[in-house]
Amino acid sequence: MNGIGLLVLLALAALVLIGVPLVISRLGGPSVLRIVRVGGLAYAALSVLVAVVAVVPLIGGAATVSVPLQAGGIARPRNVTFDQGPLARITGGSIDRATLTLTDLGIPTRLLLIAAALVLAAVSIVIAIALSRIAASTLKGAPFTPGIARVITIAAVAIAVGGTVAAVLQQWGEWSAAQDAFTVTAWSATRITDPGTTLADLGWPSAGAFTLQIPFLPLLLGLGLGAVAAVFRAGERLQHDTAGLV
Amino acid sequence: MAPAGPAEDAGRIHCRLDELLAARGMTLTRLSHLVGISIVNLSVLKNDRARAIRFSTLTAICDALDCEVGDLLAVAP
Repeated sequence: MNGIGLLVLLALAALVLIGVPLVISRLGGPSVLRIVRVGGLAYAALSVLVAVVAVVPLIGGAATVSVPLQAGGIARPRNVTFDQGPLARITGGSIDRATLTLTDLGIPTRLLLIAAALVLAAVSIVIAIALSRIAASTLKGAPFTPGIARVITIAAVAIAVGGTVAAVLQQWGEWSAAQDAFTVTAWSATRITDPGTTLADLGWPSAGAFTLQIPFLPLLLGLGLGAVAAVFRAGERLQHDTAGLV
Repeated sequence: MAPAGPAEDAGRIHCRLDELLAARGMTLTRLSHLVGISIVNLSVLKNDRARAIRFSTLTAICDALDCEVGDLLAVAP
């Protein structure tokens, strides 16, 4: 990206960061709630579309997957002298991921990646519907309608469990895709004299080891939503206590 | 037989607002103006659909109708 492109991007980001809160504060509560009510449903529909776009190539086509690699070093090619650049000097590090477009993936890999996409979409849909229902009931003047707390609790569980499960499935699927892409059980080559030569020596990467990283953000968001659900349950009780009060 | 709970007991309270208004020749609208409570809420009270009454509501109605709380509410057997 050139300098002008970067400046335009920064200007747009600043506009969004300053403009969106400004517009929301000017609109006032009911307008924001109307946006959330419609936006929630639109987001749910968009999540379905995103899931379809993610799943279709995995069923029968070329799927683009980011896969883990066995970490390889970065070194200046032998017999090459850099006459100009780079600006920074590499003192360490490795290439440990690759984004590949793959066909003929194994069934287990496809199932894992499809499941990850579907679980993520389901979580997004549940959260979007919960937000839309909260906005709709608040607009009706009854924010503590029975059932809203249950919807928020379901969203909390969905984001905590679903978010974590989706991340695990995705990482597992990516590792499985790396296995599918790089595992060679027999090979031959011409013009190789050293019998100890490996594929790695010839530049063929190896799949990275399976390392599971549990994201804490879904758990944190789930706990936060759980707290919101508790507030709504308290609100429902208070509303029930004051029903018929003159 | 188990004793009736608070929710069932609330249904035994009868509000005599209708009779008190008739005795004084006062309309519900006029009372609403005097006590600052909506006609809807006064109707709820008058038709025995209220499940709870604020002390402030009782005080305002009793002041406006010049009556005691016991004149306004009665417990049905």
